[in-house]
Amino acid sequence: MLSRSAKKIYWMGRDLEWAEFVALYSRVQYENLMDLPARQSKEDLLEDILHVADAQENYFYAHSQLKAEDVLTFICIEEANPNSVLAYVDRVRELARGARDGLSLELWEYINRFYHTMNSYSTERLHREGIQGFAGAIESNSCRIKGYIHNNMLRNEAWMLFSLGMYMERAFLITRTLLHQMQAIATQGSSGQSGSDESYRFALLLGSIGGYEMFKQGYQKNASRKLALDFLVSNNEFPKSVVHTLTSIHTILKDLHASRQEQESALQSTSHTILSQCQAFTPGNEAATTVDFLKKTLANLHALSGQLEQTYLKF
Amino acid sequence: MQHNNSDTTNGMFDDYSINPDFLDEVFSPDGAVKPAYAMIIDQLKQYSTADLAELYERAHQAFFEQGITFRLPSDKAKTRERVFPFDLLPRLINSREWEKLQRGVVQRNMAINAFIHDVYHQQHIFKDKLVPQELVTNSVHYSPAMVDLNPTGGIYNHISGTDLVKHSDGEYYILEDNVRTPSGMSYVLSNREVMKRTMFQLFGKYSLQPVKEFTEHFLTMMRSVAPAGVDEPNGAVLTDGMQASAYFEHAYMAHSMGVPLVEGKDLYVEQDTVYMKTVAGPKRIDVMYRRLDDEFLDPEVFEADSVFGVPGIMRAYRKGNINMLNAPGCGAADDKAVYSYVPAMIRYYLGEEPILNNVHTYLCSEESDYKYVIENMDTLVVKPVDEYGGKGILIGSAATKAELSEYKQKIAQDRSKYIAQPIMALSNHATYIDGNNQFEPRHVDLRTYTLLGKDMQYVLQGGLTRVALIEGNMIVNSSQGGGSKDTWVLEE
Repeated sequence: MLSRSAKKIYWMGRDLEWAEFVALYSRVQYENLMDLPARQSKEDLLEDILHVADAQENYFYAHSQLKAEDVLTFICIEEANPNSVLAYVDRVRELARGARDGLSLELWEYINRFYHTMNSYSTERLHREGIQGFAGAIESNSCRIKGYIHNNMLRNEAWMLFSLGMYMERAFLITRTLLHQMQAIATQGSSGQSGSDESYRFALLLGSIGGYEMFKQGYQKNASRKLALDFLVSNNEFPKSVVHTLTSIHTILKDLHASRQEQESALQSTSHTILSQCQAFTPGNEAATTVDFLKKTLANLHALSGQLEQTYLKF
Repeated sequence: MQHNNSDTTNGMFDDYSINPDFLDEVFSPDGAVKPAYAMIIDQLKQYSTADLAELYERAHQAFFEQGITFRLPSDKAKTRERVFPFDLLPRLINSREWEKLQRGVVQRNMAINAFIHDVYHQQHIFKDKLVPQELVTNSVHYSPAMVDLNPTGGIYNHISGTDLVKHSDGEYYILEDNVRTPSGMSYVLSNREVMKRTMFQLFGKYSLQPVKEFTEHFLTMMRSVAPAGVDEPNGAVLTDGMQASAYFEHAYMAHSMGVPLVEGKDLYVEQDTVYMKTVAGPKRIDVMYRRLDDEFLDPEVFEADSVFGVPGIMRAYRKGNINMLNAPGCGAADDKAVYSYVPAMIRYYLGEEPILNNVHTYLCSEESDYKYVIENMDTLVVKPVDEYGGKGILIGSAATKAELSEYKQKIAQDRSKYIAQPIMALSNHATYIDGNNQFEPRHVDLRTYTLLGKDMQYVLQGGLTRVALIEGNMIVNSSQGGGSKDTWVLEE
């Protein structure tokens, strides 16, 4: 497969994952906002959404106050926000258009239809239907596209690159979101946060990632910092955990490398090292230790993705 | 005299006027539906205006979802995408008529192929004074880089688009040859798909030729002209990128044949061999369907500042390490002045009489023709020889005195740049006119697609029927607001 097309498909996987993640995260957080316990800050939650959607700086450039409706428009469809969910959907479509020869006609039509569906949302419609309509359409279309890819595509380079992009972005998003949470806890820790507040925060986090029910099934306990970290970082059975995504990345890299008929690459060795470090992680009581681990993991992921682009996607 | 066609359908044909100056493909002069169209019209009778509007919306949506859209420079909203107009009433061609058309376009394109070979080799046709040498070698599309170059398989115009019209005498006439990078075949295939999604009931009532096989024949043709000694040739489609107006077609062709869609930046030449940069390392390309104009193809040979091309590709081509479809320099043969010599080429190279008619052409470079054109311009259509897409055409009968006078001055400044032809009476075909909510006659033409490979010829079964949507307009090009129809070649 052409390196140029491969790069587009890789980024298609990343951007689709990003759009789905932010849509799901925002939807759950907004639903939570509706009956937020009095002790929780509404502003903190909105800022949290903006942070995960990588839109904090741009939002405050355009708005002086945090308003739920403004945040909703900004993260979903605002043209002034280059990181809006809609901007990511547009990018997915453009990337797919540029790699049409690597995709099936049906897949292209799914993606194109998805693009047109989402672009039919105006601010008025978004506010009328609430985030449920918009985010729900993002989530269901993304799942449909991924389902099509999983069920129909040859396990060839195009499939491998899409999957690599999807897992890479997922690893970034989970690590970044956990880091944000842990940094907040580390800050608030000094001002004293109760155990129930922390439990509430992690239950909400699990729900926002789409893992709350799976967590319950797996642990049969209420959410705590330690268990949530174990679930989201180390639990290889949860497909969104850092270890699971890194294991998938490592396996695909091995298959991808086989087409070159060379010895194990530096890229594989990097992915193996990061995976081992994450597998060895044990959540402790010290928030600062976890923050350091997550920061290091994030830096490692940047190094890995840079190396991947250099090895396979340069043209 | 105009014949009013009433009570043909449930209101949608009530104001259909049959103009006796033009052949109507759907209705006889007395207003009766022609037998071949009877079942289609019967089907249409079952629809209300609302039903039809819904079917058109469904067709529109199908094009939209396939991404067969374009954007006008004036469209400010980033999501404002438009669909090329498409008509749900197909054009029918009977098998006897098609058989003749098919033989005629193959014959014509084989003669053009022989002509291109001759032009870049011995130039017998010039020496025998059948075609004026300067007409060809002075053409902007003549390519000195092709002199004495022998493409594998001996084919230059692997894919040709031949434009035809059906005149009021019921005969098809060739209007134009396109042997550089003819476009539109993906629309033929997409039109059929959309018809299947909307007017599916009709397909059970007719027996018609499929069009889907075209891309398979295209791939076979590509493989047939791969360099000698390559058992499993690697093919590719070369595009000038996503911004190209025909990008959909480039991607469609690559996708349908299962070959990569490459851009110049994906390729490089090493030791006179062309490679593409892939995930698994360099991979050789043996045969390439290029949708890039000659001038951008190789900065070493053509436009030095081309960013779309591949430096050194012409060296690889001359060495026989890659074959390109179509060959550079083919444009010297599809000039509108050269067109007038194609019947002579058929006799000269093939020793046969032309199967299809040419339209009589006046060359403004010839003194007597020039005089005739200036004196009779209001009865002629005048065209620049090297433009395409309907650009620069003047239809004398529709022009004002000022426009005629201005055009005469343009011709006088560069006579060799213009030709003129009698205004052909393009046939009419019933077409649904959105806004009027009824069917009205509109002029149509037909572009056929011929493939020439090593020991193979194939014609896409039907081709692209283009329709001029503005009443009375005879320019059917999509860039001039034209639409299209599915074309059905009926089996016996």
